[in-house]
Amino acid sequence: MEVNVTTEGQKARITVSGNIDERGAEELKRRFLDLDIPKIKDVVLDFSEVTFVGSAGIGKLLLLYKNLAPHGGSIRIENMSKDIYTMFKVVKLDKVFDISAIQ
Amino acid sequence: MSDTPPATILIVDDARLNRVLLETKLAGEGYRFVQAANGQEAVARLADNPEIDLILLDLIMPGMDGYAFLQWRASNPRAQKVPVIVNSSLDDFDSIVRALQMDSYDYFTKPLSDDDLRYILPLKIRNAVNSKRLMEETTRQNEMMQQELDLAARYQGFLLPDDSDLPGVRITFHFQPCSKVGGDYFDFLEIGQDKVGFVVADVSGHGVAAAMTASIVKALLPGYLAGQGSPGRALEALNDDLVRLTQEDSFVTCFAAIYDRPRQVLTWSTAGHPPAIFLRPGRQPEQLVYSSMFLGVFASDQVEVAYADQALPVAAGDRLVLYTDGLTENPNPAGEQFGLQRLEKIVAQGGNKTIEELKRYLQASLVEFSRGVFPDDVAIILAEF
Repeated sequence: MEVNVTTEGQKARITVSGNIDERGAEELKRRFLDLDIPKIKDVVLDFSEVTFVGSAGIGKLLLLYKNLAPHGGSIRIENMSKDIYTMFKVVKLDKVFDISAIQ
Repeated sequence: MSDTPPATILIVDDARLNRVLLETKLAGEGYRFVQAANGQEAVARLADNPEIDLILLDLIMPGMDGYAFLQWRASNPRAQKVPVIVNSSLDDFDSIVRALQMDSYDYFTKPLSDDDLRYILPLKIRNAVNSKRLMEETTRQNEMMQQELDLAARYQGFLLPDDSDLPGVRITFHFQPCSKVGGDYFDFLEIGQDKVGFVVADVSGHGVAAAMTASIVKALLPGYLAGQGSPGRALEALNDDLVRLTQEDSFVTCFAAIYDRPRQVLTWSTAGHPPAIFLRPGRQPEQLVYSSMFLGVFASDQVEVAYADQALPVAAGDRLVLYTDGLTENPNPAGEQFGLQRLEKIVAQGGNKTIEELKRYLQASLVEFSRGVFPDDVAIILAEF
């Protein structure tokens, strides 16, 4: 799994590629902790190259949400594969994240 | 490493003069010394002095020579952990390579120069002894951790229900934890005289923390299910406990159901758990699922946390298949997942098998698919009404 983070002012764009399995989730958490959370309002995750998100990965996304939400931050996840998009809807994560599937 | 005890060094050399010379030249380093005149004596000294940290070994000696000693050491696990620095007059390439191939830490040719004795050898000894002690410490900690995990696994064994039938329901299950302690939990219980409860839950992550959370679910959920009489309300109550008790990045998926025997109705509810499968004889399987949030993430008054009860009429011969995502998300060597469709197909085609046969068939299919590699806990529960 590879993670690429770019920040600009209040915005962070995170591009992930590969499998977000348990090891990938730990890497994701490490990268989230590197962010200057109090300064960031909008996080955009690009999932166009993500093939699988396990429960550990979802846990880290929720962790990021819980850190951002208290000061009005939000997370958008773009370009999800159809399977991942459906899975997020089934577990109501579309109410937590602003999600969209790949076109 | 400054407060560790001084290193004990075993000097193996047939020439007494060489042994004394080494002791004298290295005296300033604060080592303790033990001496041996050949391989046999070295074996005996190692047995009598388990504190030996390093061996300085000559190669050409009468009786058991240095190579024979290295060979003996290779088959003795305790001696293997003691590093060997060879000090020999053999200075040809083949001799040096052979000794290093036999797991020597380093090789010095005789005679040792003053710089070797004063600087290089003490530094090499320090490095070798430090890495040996670090290895010992790591091994000790690993053993301790393994013991604790074994203990935790034994406690978790008590969480699993007996493979027994309940009034009006035949049940069989298969559980396979991936790393001794995991976060899967399932249970079936009699509620009063007429009802049977089913629960399957999966805590995200593995290890002791996940197992502790599974224990919390085990301690609370059966009581909530029996007391509330509603799977949805039981999940809501459990959710509020888990929000308080679990770590920020961990959550629980759960499917809970109550079977009312006289009314022939199965009432079920789910919290983000993979779809349970319901099969009526001769019909297509149905997925029991609706959109719902995991447990332990948001309090019940936040973000659409609602667990509604769903009712399903049940007749004799109907089957309920419960599982955790360790089954459906188990990958094959190509990275493809076992998947819900494959599971549904196996369940649909297994209608003429008993549930025990179906369980064994399912297990075999999973092993064949995954080539025996299971990265997550796998729980499969089959019930027939």
